[in-house]
Amino acid sequence: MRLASALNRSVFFALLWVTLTGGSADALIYGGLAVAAATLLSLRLYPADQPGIVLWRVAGFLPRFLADAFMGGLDVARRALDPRLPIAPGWVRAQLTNRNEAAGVLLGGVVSILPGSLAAGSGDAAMDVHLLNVTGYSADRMQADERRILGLFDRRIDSQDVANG
Amino acid sequence: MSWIDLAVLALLGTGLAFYGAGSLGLLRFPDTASRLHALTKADNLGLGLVALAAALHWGSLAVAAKIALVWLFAVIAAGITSQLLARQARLDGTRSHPDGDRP
Repeated sequence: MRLASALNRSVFFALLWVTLTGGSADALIYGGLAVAAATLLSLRLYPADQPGIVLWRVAGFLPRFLADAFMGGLDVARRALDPRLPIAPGWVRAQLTNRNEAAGVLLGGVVSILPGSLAAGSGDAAMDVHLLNVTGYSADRMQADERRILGLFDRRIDSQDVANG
Repeated sequence: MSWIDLAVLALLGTGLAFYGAGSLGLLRFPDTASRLHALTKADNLGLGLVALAAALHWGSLAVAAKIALVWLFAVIAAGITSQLLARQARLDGTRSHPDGDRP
């Protein structure tokens, strides 16, 4: 498990390195060192026994993420430019169904991209969310977003459901 | 001027407009968390459009992939810092106002 995870991650980091630097042959030694260091750091920060993210599912998630990022930017730009400044900011505490910290951070990132909402950290199966228009909050929508994020992980994430204790 | 040049110009102009809107939001919005909305979301989109313009201008897949990665890293960094700043704004707000929703 640990070996497979180390191998997966080093291939991923190697691909990142080749994409970012062009991967010329005389820089290979530095690339190798960087990939090894990144893999070690990654295994230390997020050990192999944690629920993993399934890469092809992330690829399926990307189009929607890009569309959300576009709508999020458009929405906030419209509000900032409107002379009447149509915002009614406020906080809500959203209940989550899963306690996993990595899923919470990822959900926070995605929520912050969505139009009108900004995550302020999660913990204890709940997340503080700041809204530009607090009257427009939908708990159902938040739950749907959480389900979508949990769907990016492998099955080990289910063991951290609130319902499972 | 080719169609590509026109598209590059249009993308650059729109991207800069979003940066402008983000900065305007930073000045006009009333509290820390609302300002973070403007900075992260409008600037992410602005950077995305400028990056798209750059990718189109150089017209190579390798450059486009590199620029897409740079955009993704910037979005991840902005998302994480904005969550940390929003967290602090939330804690400060709770301390100074019991209902915690004012600046």
